[in-house]
Amino acid sequence: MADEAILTSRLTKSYGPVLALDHLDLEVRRGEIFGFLGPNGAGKTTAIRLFLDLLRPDSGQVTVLGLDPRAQGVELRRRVGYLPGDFTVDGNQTARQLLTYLGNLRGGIRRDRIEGLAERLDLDLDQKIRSLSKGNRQKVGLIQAFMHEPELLILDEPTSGLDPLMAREFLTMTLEARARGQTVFMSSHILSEVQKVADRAGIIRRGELIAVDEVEALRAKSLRRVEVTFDEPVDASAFADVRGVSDLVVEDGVLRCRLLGEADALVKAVARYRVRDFISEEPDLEELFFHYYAEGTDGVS
Amino acid sequence: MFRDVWTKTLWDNRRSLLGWAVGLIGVTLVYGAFYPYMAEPGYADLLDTLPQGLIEAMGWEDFTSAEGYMGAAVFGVLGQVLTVVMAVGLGARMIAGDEETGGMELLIAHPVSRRRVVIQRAVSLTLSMALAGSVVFLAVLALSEPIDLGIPVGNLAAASFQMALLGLVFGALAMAVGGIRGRRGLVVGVTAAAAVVAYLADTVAPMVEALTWIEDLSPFDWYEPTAILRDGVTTGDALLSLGVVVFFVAVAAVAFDRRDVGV
Repeated sequence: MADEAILTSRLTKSYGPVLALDHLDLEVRRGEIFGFLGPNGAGKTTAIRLFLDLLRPDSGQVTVLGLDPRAQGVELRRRVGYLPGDFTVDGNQTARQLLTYLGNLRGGIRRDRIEGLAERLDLDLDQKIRSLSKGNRQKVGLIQAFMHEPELLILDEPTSGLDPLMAREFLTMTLEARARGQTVFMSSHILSEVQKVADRAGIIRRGELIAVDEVEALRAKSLRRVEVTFDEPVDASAFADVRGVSDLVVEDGVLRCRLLGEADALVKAVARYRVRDFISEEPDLEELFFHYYAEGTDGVS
Repeated sequence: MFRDVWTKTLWDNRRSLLGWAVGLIGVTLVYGAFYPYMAEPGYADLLDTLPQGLIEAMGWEDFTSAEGYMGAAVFGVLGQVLTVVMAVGLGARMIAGDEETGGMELLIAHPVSRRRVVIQRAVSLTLSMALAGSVVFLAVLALSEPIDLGIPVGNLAAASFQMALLGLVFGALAMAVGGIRGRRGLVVGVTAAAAVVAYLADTVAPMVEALTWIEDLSPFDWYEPTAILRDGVTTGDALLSLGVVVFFVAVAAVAFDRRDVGV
């Protein structure tokens, strides 16, 4: 049995003149949580749909759980749980009816398994799907992906529409899945979300994989905007040499800068003054990309 | 609950099927109930004043006999149009419609092959059309006695069956087009255009001497309700229609299996 849950080699896909995926070489190991990061339209969904044989590649190879999606698709999909990026189904049925039917397509799922997941995610199974909010529909999608405890979970933007509490519950579910030996492949456009659980992450942009790294390493390279409001006048020179700080501006007692990697040095420098507010923004994926690009072209490590 | 794609598909279409059944029964009863008035002598004289071409095109050659009237009214233009429209609507939904609304992606991400999905959906379509044929048959049967129709039950069943089969041909065509391209609007457009052309080929083309051969290619030509009501199933036509249905479903299965889904 292959060691990789997903293995692609020069996988390429275009839609007419638009190149959606450009020679993707990707390796997802068994038993890991792998984050697949990129902005919308980067090619994440295209790659995922190639893994499941929903799309056919122009060129290149892909194996999933050691199987060829084209020739062994039924066997492969038996062992995979998939959450589409846009989970839409006939709204004229209850969540329970849909989940039971989908379970039957897999040879039947124990009732208490579905109910247990619904309880965890706080979903009423007996409501018509039409009447569910976007977040609750997403829960139905998550349950159908998790309910048969597949070897491999392929989740396209799994937290979209979930409130923070449910997003956290979902992340716990992925950790539990990993503990059971399942592999989790999840796409996202938010670094911090993947960062909480993933072992490794790949970053894709315009159809090209530009980095694959341990999540800790990505975090160290991530660039975020920081804004600190002081209760007393401060001088920019006091922060100019702080590790990780760039693009520093201080006016009217407000400091704005960009921060690379960990926040420790900046926090300690700021702490010498009276701080009214401290805002650290979500690391911006785009900026992380530029960092990788710069690294690639300049050869700086 | 449902274990198979075909049962689930039937269930998902239950409202639409119920609507069509009610519509078909209504049309059958209303048109059928007019028969006793048509059998009165005055109408034969009225028909004589109409141009011969129009009479042939509309299938009114024999409007005053039971077979002629039922073949032209209930099993004729209106029944055919309703059956074909119903079948095209369902057939377009089986692949392309489901693909556009996102359901297909989820279904074929499960351990079922695409060919299996197409075949099960074709079974579902066939049963839906069988339902349409059955309700028309039962409605005519219920009328038969009160309006003194005098057509053998077997021939009524044969006409209902072959009208449903006519619909199924175009429903299967809609599936074939959907198998090739997953756009519901395109599927409905292409199939409806094919049905109109086929209808004209059966009605207008025969008026032009050089074009009579075209008639033989039209599924509408394989269904002659008045003759069926008089003499029973036209076996050759029925087998030809069935063969075309099987061919279209095979095209749908093979084409759908080869292409990208949901793009």
